[in-house]
Amino acid sequence: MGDKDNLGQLEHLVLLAVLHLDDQAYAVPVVDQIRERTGRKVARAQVYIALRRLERHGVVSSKLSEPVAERGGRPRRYFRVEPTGLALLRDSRRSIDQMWAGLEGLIEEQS
Amino acid sequence: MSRRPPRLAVWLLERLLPAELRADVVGDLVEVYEAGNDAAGGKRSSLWFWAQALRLGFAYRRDDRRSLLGTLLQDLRDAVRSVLRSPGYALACGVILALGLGAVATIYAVADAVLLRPLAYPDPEQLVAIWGRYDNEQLDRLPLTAWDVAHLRDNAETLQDVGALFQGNTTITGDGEAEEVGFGWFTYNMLPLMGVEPILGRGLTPDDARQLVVIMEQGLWERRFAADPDIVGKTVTLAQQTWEVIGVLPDQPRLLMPSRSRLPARTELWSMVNIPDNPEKSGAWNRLVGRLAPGATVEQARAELEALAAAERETTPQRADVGFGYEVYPLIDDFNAEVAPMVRMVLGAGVTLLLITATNLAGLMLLWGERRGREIAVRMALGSGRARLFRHVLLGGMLIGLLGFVGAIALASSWISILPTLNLPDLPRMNTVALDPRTIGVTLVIALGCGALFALPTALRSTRRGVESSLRSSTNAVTRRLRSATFLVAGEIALAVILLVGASLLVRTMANITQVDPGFDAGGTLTFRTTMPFADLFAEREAYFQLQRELDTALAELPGVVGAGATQMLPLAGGLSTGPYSAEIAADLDESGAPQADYRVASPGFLEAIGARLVEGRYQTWDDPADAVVIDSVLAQTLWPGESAVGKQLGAAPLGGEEGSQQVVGVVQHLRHDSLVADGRPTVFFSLAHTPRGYLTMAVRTAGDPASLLPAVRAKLAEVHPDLPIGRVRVMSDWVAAASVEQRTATWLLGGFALMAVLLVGIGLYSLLGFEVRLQSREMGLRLALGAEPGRVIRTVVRRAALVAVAGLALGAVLAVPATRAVSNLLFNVERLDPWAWTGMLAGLAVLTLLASAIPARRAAAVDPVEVLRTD
Repeated sequence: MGDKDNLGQLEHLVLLAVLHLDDQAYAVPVVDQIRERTGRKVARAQVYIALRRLERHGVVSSKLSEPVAERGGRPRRYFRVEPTGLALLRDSRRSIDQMWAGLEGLIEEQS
Repeated sequence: MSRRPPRLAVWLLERLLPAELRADVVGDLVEVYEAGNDAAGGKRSSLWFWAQALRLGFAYRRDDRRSLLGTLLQDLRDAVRSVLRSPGYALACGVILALGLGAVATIYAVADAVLLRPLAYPDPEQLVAIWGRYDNEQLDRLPLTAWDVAHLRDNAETLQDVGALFQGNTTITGDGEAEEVGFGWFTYNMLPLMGVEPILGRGLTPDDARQLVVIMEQGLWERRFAADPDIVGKTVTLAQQTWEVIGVLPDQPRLLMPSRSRLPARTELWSMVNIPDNPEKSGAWNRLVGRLAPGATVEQARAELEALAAAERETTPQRADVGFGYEVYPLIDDFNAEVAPMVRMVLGAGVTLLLITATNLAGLMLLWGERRGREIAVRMALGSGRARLFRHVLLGGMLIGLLGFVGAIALASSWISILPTLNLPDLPRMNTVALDPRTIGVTLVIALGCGALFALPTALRSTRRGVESSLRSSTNAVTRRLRSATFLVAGEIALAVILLVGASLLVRTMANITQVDPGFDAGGTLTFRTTMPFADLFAEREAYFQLQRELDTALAELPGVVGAGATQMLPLAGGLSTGPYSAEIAADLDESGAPQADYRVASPGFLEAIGARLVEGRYQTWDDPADAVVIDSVLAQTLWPGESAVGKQLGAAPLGGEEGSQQVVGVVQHLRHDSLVADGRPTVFFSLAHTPRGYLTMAVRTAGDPASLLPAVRAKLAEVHPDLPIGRVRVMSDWVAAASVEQRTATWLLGGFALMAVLLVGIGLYSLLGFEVRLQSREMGLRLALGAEPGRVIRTVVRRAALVAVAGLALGAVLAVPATRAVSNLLFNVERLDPWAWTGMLAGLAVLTLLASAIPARRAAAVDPVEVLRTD
């Protein structure tokens, strides 16, 4: 997390991925989601650290599942976006939208 | 069938991950690995697993480190914020710490430079000062004869070498204005013995005996000879004789004179004293310095020299009579012998002040902690960990410490920079006082330590008790803290009592010293040193008397001048010259048995110029016969009680004067020569008109401002003779003031400390009462609502302040009685238990208590009962 009130880009992506996955959001599909939807090759380790920091700041929460046999009896850690996280996402989106306002045409023409 | 991930990589990843993440993160990686193996047929290889495991593991490690640093920075930021939230409090604590610590750092820097630091010679612990001692006459630290130098050098096995030095004055003429400088003699082994090397030229060799060769100190070389690199081999004119310069001595380490040697610390020219092969046991003027043999201790040297002295007493009857002995002291102790008690007293006062500062800070921080209780409880309720809260409170304390440290160093360096401008007693090595890194380091440690230590009770208690009880702020806990703070303030008062008593005793001493009549009227007299420009006074005595008379007359004729004269020793300006006296006309005056008087030689105009008071008879004149003397009232009353002394015959014999008996022509009121605080010996004034002295102090008296005479005096001197130097110019009242400089300095220092202590105690008492009043505002409001007079409420607060003060006072009095021993040697006409000093201290404390309780008491009486009932 960049600082208290703003989301970094990766954190933004991670939060959205968790929301997309709903109750199936653990780190493996989160990485896959981001890769599939954005086509960007994010580093797995970065996603893990981002999740950890988001949890540390109370933006997401997590809980462990029962042991899973195909993982050698290891549990999964499922994440959930907290109200703070939703508020931050809304804020972030609003800021971006406000900055974009009036520029859509310009950027599209040039690209 | 899927392959299993590499076991070693799994093991390693588990070691790298935090325990609570181990299972799920490894599980995720295993899941992806196996899914890849299943789906893409070995695309996800063991190499991939290894890479992922290492990346993940180290990413977590890095994150841990970064978050630890972040937490610390965050803690620091929080601490700064919470300190800034009560800026008044932080400032008060910082100022208190800065004042106390600044004073102590300054004193420590002085004590370190003057007392504690070893002398700047190689192996300084081997250097010893050796003195004579006459047990039967209670005399110690006596100079020794050339015979003793040779005897100890040849026979003492605990000493590898013994050298000697002594000092006088000379006048440099030619190459500019005539100037009087300190001139010393030492044995040729002195420089190697001390380990001082010339920076130019060479030291002395035995061949230099009886040659007119000098070694000059760096200061003189730079001042008078513009640091001429070719000075060696050139000649200088000293007392009308030509001397060859053979070397220049460094400024550091300088050859210092032991302080008890009664010689000026500054000697700028040195020549050689030769110890002959068969020296005599007379002429005891040598100050001995020895270097201990390797491995020998001062105690061993003392024992060996004691045995040598015992043998001396066996063989030499004169030495048996006086109870002769040798004394051996480490050289540094000898330097410090005179200043050590005073520096120790000041150091003790400084430590007391530091204790008061610490106590004050502890009390303030305890009370502040109480105020912060809620803030801490709220933080805890919001989920801050205990360890973190503990750190937070401690860091806050250390920040206060840091603030105090910065202030203390600023204060100390400014105080040290003004030290040279204060008229302090001549302390050896005073010029080397500085805030060195060690002092700064120790100050920092004490400051941070105090801050952390005094925050500790708050930190411990805040984090120990539960959130709820803290929010409710238990009355018991508050009462306990209040009691601790009360004890601290009482303790502070007790410590302040020590300083206050010491300071009052010294103030009384100063008052008494100011009352002392030195026997002359110092106002209006200008004094300066000069030297008669004759190589041999006795051979040229007629020319000398002529010049002296001419000089006195010329000065006396200056406009505004009412009298002028010369003496070999000015009262209260140091120096010792005594001789025997008797009422008989004693041609063979017995030197050892007769009582001793101060012998002074003065020109006829001197006594008038200094403002002496004639009791009977008249002053001497230039035309008096050689035996005409003036005596003082003490001598007159001792020898001829109830009779007129004028016309009586006195047995006394000045060195170089006419032998035998003198005729008393006048009596003056007794003059204090050595010190204002001692009565001193009776005095005989011989006439300079018949007893030549080369080194003189002139006194010129005017009805106006004596300092304004200087230009005219200087011009007149040059007119009378071009080679008459003028030095150590001072008005006589400065000499009188300098005679009590030790007491004055001690009074200022201790007075300053006492004032600071009073200030600190005031702050302590004020904050304690203020806190209490706030706590009890509800009760006070209720009492006021029920019809209590505001006066009663005020009395309650003041009574409480008085109670704390009395408790502190009682404890302080018990401590102060033995502590006043530290100043006892500075006291004059005051007992250690002087009722006035103690009463003064009591009165001061009573006023302080009243002042400190005034504002809290008014605040208590101004509590609005309606407001109190409403908040209830």
